[in-house]
Amino acid sequence: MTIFRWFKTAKSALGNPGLDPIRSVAGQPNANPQQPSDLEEAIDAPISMEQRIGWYREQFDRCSDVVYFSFVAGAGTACSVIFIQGIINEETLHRQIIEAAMTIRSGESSEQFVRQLFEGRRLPVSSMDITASLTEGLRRILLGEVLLIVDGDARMILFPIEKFAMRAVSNAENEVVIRGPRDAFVEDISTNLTLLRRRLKSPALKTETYFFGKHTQTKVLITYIDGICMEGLVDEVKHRLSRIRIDGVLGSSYIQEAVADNPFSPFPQTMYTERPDVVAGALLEGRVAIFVDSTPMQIIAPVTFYMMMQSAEDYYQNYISATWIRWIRYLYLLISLLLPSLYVAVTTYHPEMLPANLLITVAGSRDIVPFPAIVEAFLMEISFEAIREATVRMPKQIGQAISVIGALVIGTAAVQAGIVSGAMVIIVSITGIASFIIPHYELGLALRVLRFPIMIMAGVFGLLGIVTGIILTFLHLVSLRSFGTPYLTPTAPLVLADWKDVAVRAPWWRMKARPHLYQTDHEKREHFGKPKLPEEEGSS
Amino acid sequence: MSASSLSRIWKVIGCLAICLPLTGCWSRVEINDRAFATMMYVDKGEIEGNVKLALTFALPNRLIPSQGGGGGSGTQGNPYDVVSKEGKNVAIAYRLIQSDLSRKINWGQLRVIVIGEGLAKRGIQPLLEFLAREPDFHLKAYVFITEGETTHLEEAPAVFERLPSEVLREFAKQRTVINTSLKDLLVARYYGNDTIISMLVSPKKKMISEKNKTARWIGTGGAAIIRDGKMSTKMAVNEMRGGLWIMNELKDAVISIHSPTDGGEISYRVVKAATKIKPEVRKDKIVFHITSKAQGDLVSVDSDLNPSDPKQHELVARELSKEVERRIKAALDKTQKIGADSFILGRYLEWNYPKEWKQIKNNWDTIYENQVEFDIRASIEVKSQGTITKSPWERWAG
Repeated sequence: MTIFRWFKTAKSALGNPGLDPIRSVAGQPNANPQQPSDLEEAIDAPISMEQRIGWYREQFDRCSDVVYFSFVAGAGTACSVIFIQGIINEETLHRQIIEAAMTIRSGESSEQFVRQLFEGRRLPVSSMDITASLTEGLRRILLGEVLLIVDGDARMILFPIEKFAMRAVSNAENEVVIRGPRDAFVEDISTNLTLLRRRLKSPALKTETYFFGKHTQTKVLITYIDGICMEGLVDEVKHRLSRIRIDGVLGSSYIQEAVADNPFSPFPQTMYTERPDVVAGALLEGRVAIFVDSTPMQIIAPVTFYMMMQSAEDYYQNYISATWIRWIRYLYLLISLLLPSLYVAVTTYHPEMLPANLLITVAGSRDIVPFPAIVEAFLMEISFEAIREATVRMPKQIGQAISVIGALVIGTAAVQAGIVSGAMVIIVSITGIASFIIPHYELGLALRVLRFPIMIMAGVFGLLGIVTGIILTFLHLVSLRSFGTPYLTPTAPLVLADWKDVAVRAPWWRMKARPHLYQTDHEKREHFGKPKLPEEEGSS
Repeated sequence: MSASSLSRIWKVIGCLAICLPLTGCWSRVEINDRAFATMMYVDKGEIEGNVKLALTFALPNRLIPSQGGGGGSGTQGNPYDVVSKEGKNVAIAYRLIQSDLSRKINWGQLRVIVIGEGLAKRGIQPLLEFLAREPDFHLKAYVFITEGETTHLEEAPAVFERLPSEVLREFAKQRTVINTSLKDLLVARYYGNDTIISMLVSPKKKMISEKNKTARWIGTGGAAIIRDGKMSTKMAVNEMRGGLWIMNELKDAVISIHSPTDGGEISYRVVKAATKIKPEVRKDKIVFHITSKAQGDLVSVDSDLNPSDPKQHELVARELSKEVERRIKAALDKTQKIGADSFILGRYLEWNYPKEWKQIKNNWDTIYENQVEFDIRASIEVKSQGTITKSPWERWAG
């Protein structure tokens, strides 16, 4: 069952569709796949204000942050607001809702006041919803809205004036660029959406809202550009999201893991980013971005292996240097996966592969090392992993100390003591640097993990083991899919047209078509051709 | 991932795991448990019919500057050692050496094989037999024959390089001597076993680098013509150079000629030499057309010749070409006289006239001796005249 069909049935269960809250940013109705059964039980709101407040007090039993405030509004109508302290903008509540409602207009009857109130003519607010369902009101209060109950009317008004404590938009910390924009997503989803909307000022940018997590009620947005994104892809994303049943969503990886094609793969099948420009770029290529509230990392799907070898920087720098850097990255990708294994295999099984002088140097440095090469390699790699992990987790001030001590211990002392060879230190350091060159951290992690089995293969079977390891990895990679897109597109399957952004970074005036792999409906981009000199333009 | 695809993966892994033991890659030997033989000396043994095998091993712990702690024990002594044993054949001698070593001998770095003159005269077949069967040898290992006994070379210090094998490798790389590799020897076996191997000399010399002690100096000197697997005669340096032309291995050479004008010495450096050989089967003989092309750069003029005069220039170029032709001819004549197709010209015949080759293959040596003629044409183009165009004294005179 697709989520659309489900949504239709769920919507009718909500009761009066006309009263359905219309509030989400792109004007799409809210859907709550999490609690359809709760909503179906929605009881009709009792007329009496006291009854309704009593019901809410019962629900919010022992919730000290819920505020109930009753006041007398214009024309003597009794009103109450219910909200949660701290997550709403109280100034707006005072000025635009309570104060405005309390203004007395002469000759106004209570009926007139209530009618104007519900017609949206009484209060100077920019948006409000009307609901008759108590449970809906309950849910919305928890989302940071203010519920206004008017005595004598079964309907209730919801004012979305939520205001959460949040961080200001700051510099990107994980995906640093030199030339591109610096802003990064924050934890607040509406701020994040603003950052995206600032870049894509188009009505074709669609954002659909969902809520996940039984207790967290985390807001999740599916964003895509209508007309560029393949229709089936959006449906597939929705379908996969609709399967999620979870207690809480505390980060985007909760969603990521739930929608993965192959849950057993070490390779990331969706990509996360903290950069709004990366999301905008992905949407323009016909992909889908999933925004998750309260995390600065948004998900992009589908992805390919090569996409994770691209950095945002590539598109801001000169395309020639960007291409060169991309090649360096591919080279170091191999190094980060294979270098320690190659070293172990060549020195223990195939020393004839090394030139005589190099071999003698290596043999000389290994002469006093008490361990076999494979043990040495493991020793060093594992200590390096430990240093890396410690440096990431340590508080910043201590982290510095750790890295210095680690470098000293492993780099100098171990070699001098004759525990490891100098050559191995070089190998491990290059490998370590190589794994940081991979722009996408999760891919780097996957390769870091894969390095160890390949090292064991190298230690046991030599080069043959490495080759077997590579073959097995490739078998896995070619069979992997990300939302139906083969992971190694455009090399397997071969899509030569898409190589313009894989083997090289083609200049923008050559990127005439969107990536073929997403099968967008409109493959042609707006393009302008190679820049010309004025005289050329005159002659052509 | 469904259960069936999981089990399929296990099946694939199982298949691969079964295959792995078949490869014979279970030979894990740590690099510090290996002894790397860098050079091999083979000579006849003291007992008649025996073979003396000597191997030069690099000692990595002495090659690397000490690394503190328990590192290398300093720089005393040579960073290599020679271990030699005598046995009925090479394989037995090798086993004897191995049983005396704490580390396992690895042939992977063996780049130079030196054969003693005595053994070469007796025949190199038994050695080739051993080298060809062992898969670890580099086919690119260079082969030399030394004048006298190999022991002389073993004693020679490597003055310029770290290891003595490096000295010989560099000789071969410079292409001033014929560089015969193990592969060439194996190829020659299919063409009547005639080949040519360059020779080493090791004269005694007072060495300043070795604290003025008298020691052996490794040098090059001519080549040995191998006929039917046995060294039959020597070739002088000049003739060997002619051989380099035929084998298309010449990188650069300095050729001096007498000036056609007054007989003074003119030297040219010859570069970009390229030789083409084309056989032609006639009724009663086989003619090899050998065409050499090269470019000559003027090195020095010791005559009144004016290099910038086109006419004189042409004369010199012709003279130069004739000299090259003479050199090539000399080398070929030497081999033809003893009926050894050392330059393996037979393969050109096989390529161009496969049918005829099949018929004459078996008595190719006799045919080579009697029924083969050479048509040698060299054309040297003189291009550069150096930085100055006139000889310095010319200006003073005129």
